[in-house]
Amino acid sequence: MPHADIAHYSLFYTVKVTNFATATMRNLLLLIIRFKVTLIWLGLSVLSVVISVQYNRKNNETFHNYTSVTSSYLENTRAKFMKRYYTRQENEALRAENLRLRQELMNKNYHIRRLSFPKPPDTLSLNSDWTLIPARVVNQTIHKQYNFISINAGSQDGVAKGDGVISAQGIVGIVIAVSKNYCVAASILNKNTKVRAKTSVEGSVGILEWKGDKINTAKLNYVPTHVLIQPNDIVVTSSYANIFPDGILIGRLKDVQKSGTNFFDINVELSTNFSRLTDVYITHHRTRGELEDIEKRIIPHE
Amino acid sequence: MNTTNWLFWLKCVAVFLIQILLINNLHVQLLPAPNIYIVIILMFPVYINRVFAIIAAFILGFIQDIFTQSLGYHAFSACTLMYVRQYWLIFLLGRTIEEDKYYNLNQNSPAWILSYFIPMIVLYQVLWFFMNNGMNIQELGIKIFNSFIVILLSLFLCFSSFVLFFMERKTR
Repeated sequence: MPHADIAHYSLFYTVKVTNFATATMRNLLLLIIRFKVTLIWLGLSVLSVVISVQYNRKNNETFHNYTSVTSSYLENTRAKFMKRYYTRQENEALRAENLRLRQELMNKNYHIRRLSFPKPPDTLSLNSDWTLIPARVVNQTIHKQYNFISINAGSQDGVAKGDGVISAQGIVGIVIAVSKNYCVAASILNKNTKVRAKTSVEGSVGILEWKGDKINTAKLNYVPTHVLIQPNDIVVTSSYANIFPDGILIGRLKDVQKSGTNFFDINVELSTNFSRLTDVYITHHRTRGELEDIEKRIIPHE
Repeated sequence: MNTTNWLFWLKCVAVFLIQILLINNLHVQLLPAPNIYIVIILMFPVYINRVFAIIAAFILGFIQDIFTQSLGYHAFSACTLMYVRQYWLIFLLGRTIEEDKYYNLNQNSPAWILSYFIPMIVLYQVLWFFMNNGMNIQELGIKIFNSFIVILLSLFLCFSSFVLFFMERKTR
């Protein structure tokens, strides 16, 4: 009886179990029945830990602090090795070209002049609170609901948690975790990221959120309906909360609708192309930490 | 008296309503809300199957999580407390109580109940503390001081709710 019902079998033929598979299944079943309380407890605790990591912003960031920073370190190491492999081929080609140029130079008896350019003054750090830190994207995702960007600038370069990330095309995200050499930023394409944005004409401030559907579209919430806005208005950042400087490009208003509430229903077309993001700048404000401290004192629990 | 009646469950509902409607809304400065609903988990009837008891504790904790916007913290602590409770009761009573179908926790004296409550509430708040803060050690001294006060408040609330609601005199 290879496929006998286990309960039936154990009721009537308890003494001799010759079939190995049946005996194993029966032992497994007995094990589960014996430790059912512990198993239920373990299952429910794991479920609640998963829920807490999934839905609480603080735990999510802690989790990413431990996982993403290590993984971005590995990614960078891999990129270094791959670069070394590719530079060998590139060196060959450059050497050949160099040879050709030198030969040409020798033939023309050309004089080489070394030029040394004076360093331009750092206008951003001269007289303002804002510092701009250049960096490169090490790793990023754009296909998830909660996307993160790993960047190769860390606390050594002056990056702090909560700094803004911008590119030449527009804003990119907000730094949520910092190690010595790297930082991880929550992209605008992350459902937890909220950015204060304003329309360039009227200057009314709303909150930009990504709903997780289209990669180049976000929603601008909490713009009251008495404000005059039109499609194709430019949307820029506001310097509230000192994450971004004033007037960094976000995108343009695509469709504006009046829903039944006091606020507009606005879609914003993002100007940043997240699929080919390489060079970014991190915007650091000198006294933002102080502002956060004083706000935290007023609002103790989120 | 030997089995729990409908009044017991009504008292449980009342305690839970006090928790979610009243105590969760008392925003004392920089202090997390004390938990009075632990008394439901601690006074839960012993004769009920432990699998159902742990699931019930999880659901209670989850509802409390929904009302405090901290999904998973109370659920984890509550179901762990319900799991550990059995071993603590066996240690205190010196015998297994799974077979004792008519053992009622309500008959015990307040002193015994206090010795039963203290480690359980401390365990609950410690678990909640670790779920809430994780490995974050910023301002650790203030957090530990706050959770110490919350432990005392929870203990006071649970014990007074036991005395007010659940305590029964032995009839001889």
